[in-house]
Amino acid sequence: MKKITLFFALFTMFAQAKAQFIKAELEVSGLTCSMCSLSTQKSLNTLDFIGQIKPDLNKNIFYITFKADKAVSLDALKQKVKAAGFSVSKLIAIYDFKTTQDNASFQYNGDTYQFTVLPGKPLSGETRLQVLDKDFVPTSTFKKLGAQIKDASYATGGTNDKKQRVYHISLS
Amino acid sequence: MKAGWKHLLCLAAMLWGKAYAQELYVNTEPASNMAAKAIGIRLNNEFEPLQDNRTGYRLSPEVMFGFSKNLMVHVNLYASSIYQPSFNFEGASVYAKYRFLALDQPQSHFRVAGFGRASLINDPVTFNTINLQGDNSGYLGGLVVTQLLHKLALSATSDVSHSLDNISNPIAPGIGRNQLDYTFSAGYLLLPKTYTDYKQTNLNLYMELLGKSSLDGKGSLMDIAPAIQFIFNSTTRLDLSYETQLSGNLSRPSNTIYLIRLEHNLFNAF
Repeated sequence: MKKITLFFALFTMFAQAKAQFIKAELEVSGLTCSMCSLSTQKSLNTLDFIGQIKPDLNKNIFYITFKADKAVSLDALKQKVKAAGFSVSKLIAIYDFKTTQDNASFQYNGDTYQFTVLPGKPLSGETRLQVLDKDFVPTSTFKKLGAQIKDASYATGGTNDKKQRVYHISLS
Repeated sequence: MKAGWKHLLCLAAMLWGKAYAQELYVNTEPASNMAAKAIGIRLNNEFEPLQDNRTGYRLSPEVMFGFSKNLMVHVNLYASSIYQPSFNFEGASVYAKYRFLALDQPQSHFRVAGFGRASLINDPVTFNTINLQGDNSGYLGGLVVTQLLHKLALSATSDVSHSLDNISNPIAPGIGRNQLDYTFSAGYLLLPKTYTDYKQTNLNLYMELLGKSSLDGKGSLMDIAPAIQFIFNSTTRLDLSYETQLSGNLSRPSNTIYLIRLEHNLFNAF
């Protein structure tokens, strides 16, 4: 009986294993020296959900691995880059869909992630998502996308009452 | 024609590759700030050949704080043997810089900041040049604009200085009290050609033009200051600069300044 209970406990644990951001590729603009890169990396390292960071100092890309048991905030990543004095020019986050998902949006840690272009196929497993919101792409790109993306929440990054954060993403 | 230029610029950008410019200027400050919550410690050593054939030495310990991404503050202490053979404490200054515009692109950026300095110094006032970094009490305010263009980082500053009576040495009659300062700086990253890790030593070259014009009709001057800079472990900096007068008639302790500066940075320090 005990064994069966344990089995069920384990089963429910795995079945409920949450979908999670597992990695990210963060490209930063404005970095002009390794000192700037190091200060940005040290700033990112203060976030509790960061596991490991490997920098590509030529391309100014930080390859980040997230902790499996901590909620990931993409906005917090952006804030830390800004605090170091620089800007995010590209963010690709790798999301692990634990179950197949076929909707135009999904929820993670209370925030909405809205596809700007429907993936056109069911998504499952590790999926590369690019964040298209303000301060996650160069300003010129944000303006260009703003003209294309009809969704009113793109300009503000949230619902009209600002109660809900809406990230806008595309498959990468 | 406009599109043609754009293509030419894109091609040039591709040929040059990444932005290997450098804006950690030696004799001026860029519009960029240090990271929030970072502390930098500097030891500035200046050597000035004086008119009485002595070499004056000024030591200035400096602490820099990055309070936010936009605001940083420097605090300096000064001691020197410029005004007398013995090495005496001269005073202190506080400098603040606020970055209010930052336009970042992957290969370039443009930044603008406002800055100010206030100094309390106790040296005799006998020269017309106003230098709030050791020679004069007073205050200044100005603007700095920095543009990173692929391999070249360019920066220009302009400020107005007003000198006050030094602590126990009032300004003699006939000495200028107001001055316009203007600088132009260029920086270039020479090494490494390819970054592989944070431990690589960087070698940067700088050329700076430093101008001063008395607003009380006492004259003006223009200096040129080439400098070489090493950065170790992405945290520690060694600057070597030689500043000398190109032209001008504004009186000052020395027309030549040799600078040796050591700087160490601590990130997430508070």
